[in-house]
Amino acid sequence: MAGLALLAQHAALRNRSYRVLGGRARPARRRELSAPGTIGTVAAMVLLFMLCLGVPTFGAISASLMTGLGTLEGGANFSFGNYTRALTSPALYQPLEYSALLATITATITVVIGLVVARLLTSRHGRRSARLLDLLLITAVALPGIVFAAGYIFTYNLPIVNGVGIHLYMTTTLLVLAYIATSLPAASRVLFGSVGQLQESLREASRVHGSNAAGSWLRVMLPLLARPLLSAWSLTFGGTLLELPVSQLLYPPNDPTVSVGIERALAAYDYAGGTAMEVLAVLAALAVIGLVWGIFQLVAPAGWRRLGRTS
Amino acid sequence: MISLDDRGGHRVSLVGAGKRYGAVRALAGVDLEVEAGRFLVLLGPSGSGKTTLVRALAGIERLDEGELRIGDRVVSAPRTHVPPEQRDLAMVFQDYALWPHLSALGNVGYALKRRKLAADQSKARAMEALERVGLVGLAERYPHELSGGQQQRVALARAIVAQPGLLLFDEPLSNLDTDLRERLRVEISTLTRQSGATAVYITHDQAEAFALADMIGVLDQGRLVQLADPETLYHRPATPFVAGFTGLSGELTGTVVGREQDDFYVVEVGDWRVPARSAHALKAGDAARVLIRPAAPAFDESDAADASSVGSLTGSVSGTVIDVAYRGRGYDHVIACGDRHLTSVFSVRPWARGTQARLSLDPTGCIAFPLNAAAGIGYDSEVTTVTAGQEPAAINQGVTE
Repeated sequence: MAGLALLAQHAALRNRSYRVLGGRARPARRRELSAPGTIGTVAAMVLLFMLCLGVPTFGAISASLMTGLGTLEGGANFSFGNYTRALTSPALYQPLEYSALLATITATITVVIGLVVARLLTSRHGRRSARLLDLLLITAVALPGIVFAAGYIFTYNLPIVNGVGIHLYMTTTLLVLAYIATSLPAASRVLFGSVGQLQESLREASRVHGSNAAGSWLRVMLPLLARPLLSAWSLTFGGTLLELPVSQLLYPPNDPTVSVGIERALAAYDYAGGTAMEVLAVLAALAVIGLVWGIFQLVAPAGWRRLGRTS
Repeated sequence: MISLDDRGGHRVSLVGAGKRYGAVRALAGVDLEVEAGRFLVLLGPSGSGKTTLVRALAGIERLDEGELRIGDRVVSAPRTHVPPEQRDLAMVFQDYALWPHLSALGNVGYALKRRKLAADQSKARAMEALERVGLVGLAERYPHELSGGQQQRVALARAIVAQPGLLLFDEPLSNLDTDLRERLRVEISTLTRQSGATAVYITHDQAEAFALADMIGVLDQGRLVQLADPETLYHRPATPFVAGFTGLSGELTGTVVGREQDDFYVVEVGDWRVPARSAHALKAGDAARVLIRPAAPAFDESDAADASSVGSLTGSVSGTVIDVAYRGRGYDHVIACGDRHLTSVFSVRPWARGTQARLSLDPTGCIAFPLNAAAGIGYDSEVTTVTAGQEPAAINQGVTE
């Protein structure tokens, strides 16, 4: 189905270009909604967020604040004891640290490879290979993580693989490789649009006016792609930190990830500890992403920050 | 590093330049030489190879064949490709190619980084360049906060600020309206000549080419058809294609009657006898096409009422006015002469549609070619500098009659 959709897209576009971001590009104009339109839109958004985020968030937070949850002894009370336990018990906080480290490594490597992939997909050269790559990535998106992980176990557990000196089974390296492989399609699709919008003449102008190939990327392309790169990084980081299917099958012994830790706590009927850990993991993800964007706002030159704004 | 010529610009020499995109041959053995400090305009229709040629000069495209020298240095050869940043050139792009994350000052200052100046010196020179294009007050604005004309001025300032030896222009005025285009054309001409740099400018607009150029090269299907000064190109086009692309009122077909004087021939077109210049050795009885420049035909009002009866006069044709258009300074008319039309026939007063009119033809604006001349690239050693019917050889730039 993905292949058919791509073919339909190519047929509709007929080689027309998305390259609209150049010196002559104007910021998108913000459209003001009417009062009824504003009320309707806000109501729809609130409803959507309540159903998608509000209910599970409320459930997780309230469960994490209860003591005696899931037991038949006595009544349930509210306290921050579960959070204290999650932050002091190595069984609970170590998985969070471990996952945060893996998510940081995965997000960074994925964004770099995703940028290269996006560049290949939007290149004017090698259109057939680009289409093939595009199809491969779309197919990878459609592949469930658990099937992907099962394939990794099967492959890296083969005697022949061990025979040639590849000993990745049950290692952190294999887990990171699987994370990268599963997150790369989404990250490259996020970057595909932004890279595809960049007019090639911007980089050519940089070369003509004195920058070498690396310099033109650092001084022209990187600033223009900074926001999309950060978005792809945030998306990958957040997705990897709490990733479950791949982690469940591939985590190294004695090094469970945070999602595996939460799943274990819940399986052991420690609902309050599990949900406290879940809330802490989500807060940690938001804090890291917020920190990254905060640094961007503080450190990036004004021109970088202006890109993508509406007027 | 490429050294500058005494005149401030680089001499550019291109021999046998070839470039293919798959099955399409974009450049087919172009030979070209531009003296230091000269302003060359490459003129041609879409797909003629002019953009490929200017991008090859910039180093953005690699040539498949041939050798390119900028100054004394070979920058492109079968095993050599000097990257753009080492060619000491600058370029004004068709889409301006201003970097949206940098202000006008930042865009201009960027081009100075290769000169490795101190920050205050760099800023002063960038401001000076902006001042020269009249934008010093808008230095802190970002490209999207500038109008199209202002953006192109920033691009121009960016090109000249580092005082490169070669300036390239890729149809820089094509996105602007007519009035602005004319004003910017003057600015480009003035600033480029003040800089002393050699300039290569591509356009498909013949009026722009004639107004800007010291020399014009006409490209067709990847070949340089003619390289000459504007006057020679206009009065002595090497091929019907060159004549057609540099402005025609129309075309008549007839038979050569004889030679009148020097290189002027008389061609019989129906009942009319049309004198025309030709660089070809025409003989009486040869079939010929006469290409007529817009300035050649003029309404002959001496006996307009009898226009239809005086068609046999040498240098006159007659026809019916089928269209008239007001152009401010007067009127352009379309005249049906038999089965052919002459367009842009100017008169200060309007001639009504349907009126019979007699036109006198200035022989210097009528160019005769053998009827089969359209097939190949024409060549005359006195008229053009490009070989024909074979791969072009080295060119002696600036050859005129």
